[in-house]
Amino acid sequence: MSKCEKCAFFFPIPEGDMDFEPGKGDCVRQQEDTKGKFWLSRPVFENSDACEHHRTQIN
Amino acid sequence: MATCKECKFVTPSPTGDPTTGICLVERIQLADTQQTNTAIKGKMVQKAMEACPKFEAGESWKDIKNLL
Amino acid sequence: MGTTERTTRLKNRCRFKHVAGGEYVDAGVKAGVERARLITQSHKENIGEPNCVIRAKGLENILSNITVHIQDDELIVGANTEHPDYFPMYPELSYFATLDMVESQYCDHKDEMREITEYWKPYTIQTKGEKYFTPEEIGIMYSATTIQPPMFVTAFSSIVPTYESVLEDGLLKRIEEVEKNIANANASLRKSPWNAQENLHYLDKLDQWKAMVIAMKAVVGWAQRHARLAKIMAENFLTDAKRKEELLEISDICRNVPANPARGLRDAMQSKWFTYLLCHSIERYSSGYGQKEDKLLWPYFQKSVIEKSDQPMSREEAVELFECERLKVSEHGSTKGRQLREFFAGSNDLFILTLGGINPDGSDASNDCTNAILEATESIITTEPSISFRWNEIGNTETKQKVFNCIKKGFGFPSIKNDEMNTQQLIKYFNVPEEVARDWALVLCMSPGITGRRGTQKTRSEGGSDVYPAKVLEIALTDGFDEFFSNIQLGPKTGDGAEFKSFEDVWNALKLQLRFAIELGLRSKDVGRIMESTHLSCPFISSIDDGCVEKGMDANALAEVPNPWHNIIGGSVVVIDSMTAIKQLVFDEKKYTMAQLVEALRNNWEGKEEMRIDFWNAPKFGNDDAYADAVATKYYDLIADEWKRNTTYSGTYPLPLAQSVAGYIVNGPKTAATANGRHAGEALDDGGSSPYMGCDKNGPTAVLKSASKINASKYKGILLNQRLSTVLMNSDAGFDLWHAYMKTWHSLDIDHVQFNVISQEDMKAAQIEPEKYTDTLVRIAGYSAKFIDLARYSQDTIIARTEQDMASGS
Repeated sequence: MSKCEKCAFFFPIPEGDMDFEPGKGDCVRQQEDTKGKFWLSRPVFENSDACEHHRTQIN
Repeated sequence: MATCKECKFVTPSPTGDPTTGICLVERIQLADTQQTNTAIKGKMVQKAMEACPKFEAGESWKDIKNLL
Repeated sequence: MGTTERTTRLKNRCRFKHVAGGEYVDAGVKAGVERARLITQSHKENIGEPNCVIRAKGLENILSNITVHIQDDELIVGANTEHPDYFPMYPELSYFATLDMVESQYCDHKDEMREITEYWKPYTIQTKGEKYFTPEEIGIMYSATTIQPPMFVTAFSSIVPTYESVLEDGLLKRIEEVEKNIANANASLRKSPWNAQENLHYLDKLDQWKAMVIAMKAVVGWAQRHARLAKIMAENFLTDAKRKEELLEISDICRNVPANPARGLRDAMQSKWFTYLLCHSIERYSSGYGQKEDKLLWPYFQKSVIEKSDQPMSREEAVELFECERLKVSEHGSTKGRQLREFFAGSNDLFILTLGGINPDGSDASNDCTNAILEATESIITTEPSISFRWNEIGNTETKQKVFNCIKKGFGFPSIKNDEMNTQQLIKYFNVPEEVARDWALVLCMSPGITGRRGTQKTRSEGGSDVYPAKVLEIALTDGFDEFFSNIQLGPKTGDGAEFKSFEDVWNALKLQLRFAIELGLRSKDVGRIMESTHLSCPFISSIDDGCVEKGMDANALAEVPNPWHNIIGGSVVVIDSMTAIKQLVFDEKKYTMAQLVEALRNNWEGKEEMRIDFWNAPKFGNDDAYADAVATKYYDLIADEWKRNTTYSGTYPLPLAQSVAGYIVNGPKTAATANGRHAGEALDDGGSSPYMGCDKNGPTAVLKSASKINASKYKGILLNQRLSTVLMNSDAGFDLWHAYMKTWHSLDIDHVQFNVISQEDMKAAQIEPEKYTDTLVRIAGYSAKFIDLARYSQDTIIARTEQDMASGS
């Protein structure tokens, strides 16, 4: 099973930020509806199982 | 038997109490002396009450223009 | 439209969350669940901790885990829910209000939310508060007939956040301050010899301070989440160079504030918005947009726009930023109990900011920031936030012209409050030092309260809640029993009106029914205050108030500057006109008996049209008629005296405030026929001194003269709605005529006035082709609404108002 760590939408939280925890990151996704585009961010951990929006990072 | 709960003229209670509602079915055309056209005689009802002859199935929120 | 392409786009795609009849007008509006889910999760994990710590950890869990978002084109970021179309839910407040929302069409997560609602039931302030009242008292209050249901079931509140302390200090400095207090308390507790009297009070304070630190750190972390999102968007999702640059600046701003002091206007606006969200909508729900915005932002406006020393920007950019703020407020989703949603028909919530007046040193407080805010208001055309303008004699004409420009366009605001009168009132009744009193802003629609770093109003149990006078008069004639709407004994048995022998008998019954309603309402507010203080601590709100930090107290509990007030909502003029008609036709002229009148009212004038016309044609308030105005004076003196008998939580008596919001609409169908010739179910009067619809026939000056006979200094406010001619207001002489009218208004010591400037024809046309009138705004009472969002019954009450001709000279 893929993990969030490998997802293109996973961004690790910098050390020093108030909510920093090892392995914690922001899952940032773009959405669009009839009123326009917006970007959502929610906390995830790198070892979480990937969700249906998972997109593997291309490095 | 239908109850007030299923009636489209019964709006929710002001507190959100699930057992009561406000019936807005009674509408009266006003005399020419008055500046507005319509009066609505509200009635507090128990939603479990047996519906009156004016009952129409539906939900009040679907017709916002007829609310207050 | 907006002054820039950006704000025009933002306006066109604005996710309005207006309500009508208690329902959200836009189909896409939904109930968000994340706040409810996260506070519940935290509550389960922290039971057993002091309430303030439970609440702080609840806030921390929300801010650390709720989905944050940024929309395209935004310059001010942050929201109260996980999606821009949503509003949040507050399961810890009212069980009924949450259940109502969960079972509505707005909630897509019914099973989860039902479980959450039931989990909270024993912990809600509703359950905690109800037990101090008898079932009969609960029945009266929850019927919303003579008084507003208590705050513990409506979940309604209002607050003036202490924005200044956040903008000036930043939270990191405040965290240090609180940690110093904790260290000092701990040192004192360990001093030798042990002294219980000197130290035991620290136990509760330590809990409060600890909770404040948890809350403030969580807020800094939440702002950092926005900073990261903006940066990630710029670096990973967007290609437009200009927007990337904007997002990097937004990221920098959210890194800086509210953690640190605001550097310039962009920081100040963002820090203010974050603080607004937290105080009004995330830590708990509170209505309002209470702030003296031009005073609050003036130092930052000077730095950025005038001196260009920090975050430099052009004046046009500042106007754009104020437009962005208005749009941000317009799409902010509020979650009130149903009655309050009904009371704000056509709007989203009560968002009212204050401008104008004078500075603490007595100089004119209107500045170029005031003007820029008004220019943005004029261009973007949104109902929210409404504006109150403090009309002071020394206020400059340029700003007053900009106020006029908004009014003549039909926005219904700025509403105008008498600056000198309201300042003096804070000094006289509430012992506020003059220089502090001079910085007042409206707490909600009509009530002035102080602004600044400490002592502002934190909860509606300090000021707020309603008595409904027309219903009170109705039951004064029916032995306290409501035959018309609820079939409940709503008040004491004061006798059958048919048997009253004198006008004083009627008056006495009215007084005793009012007394009962006022006392029950005040008791429910103060019980609610205790429930809030013990079960609904607000550690973040406390952390940004200097007084709470100094004293280690929760903001709900501390009443550092008492500001008690209580609304008397829609129906005062129905009572005045009814009592006038009773006095004339029953007791002076003896044309009818009380028995005939009570019977006619019971039967909604059926078969008695001639009699109704007699009562309808009796003297009416608003015509400079000495007979009717004398009753108005007597009624308003009674109101002030009855409230004065009581002492509330803050240790003094509340001042009444006569206004209506849309209560004059909602309470019409709950009120039987009245002796002013009104039918059962007709709307009530829209304000406190607004003449009844169509009853002011002697011109605008006559209205002002009638209003001036009420001693407004004894009230927190008395709302006066006036409708003015669009042709006249838009003519070359428009400003001069209006200015002359305002000078008359001011010279007569009247508290308030606000205007609708819209023609009968336009309103009727908007009813037929609403799509052509999407920007048509109207003043309801205390707030403005989009005309097309209103239900038909509400629209008709606006059309029914008399259009005054200022040029008539009468």
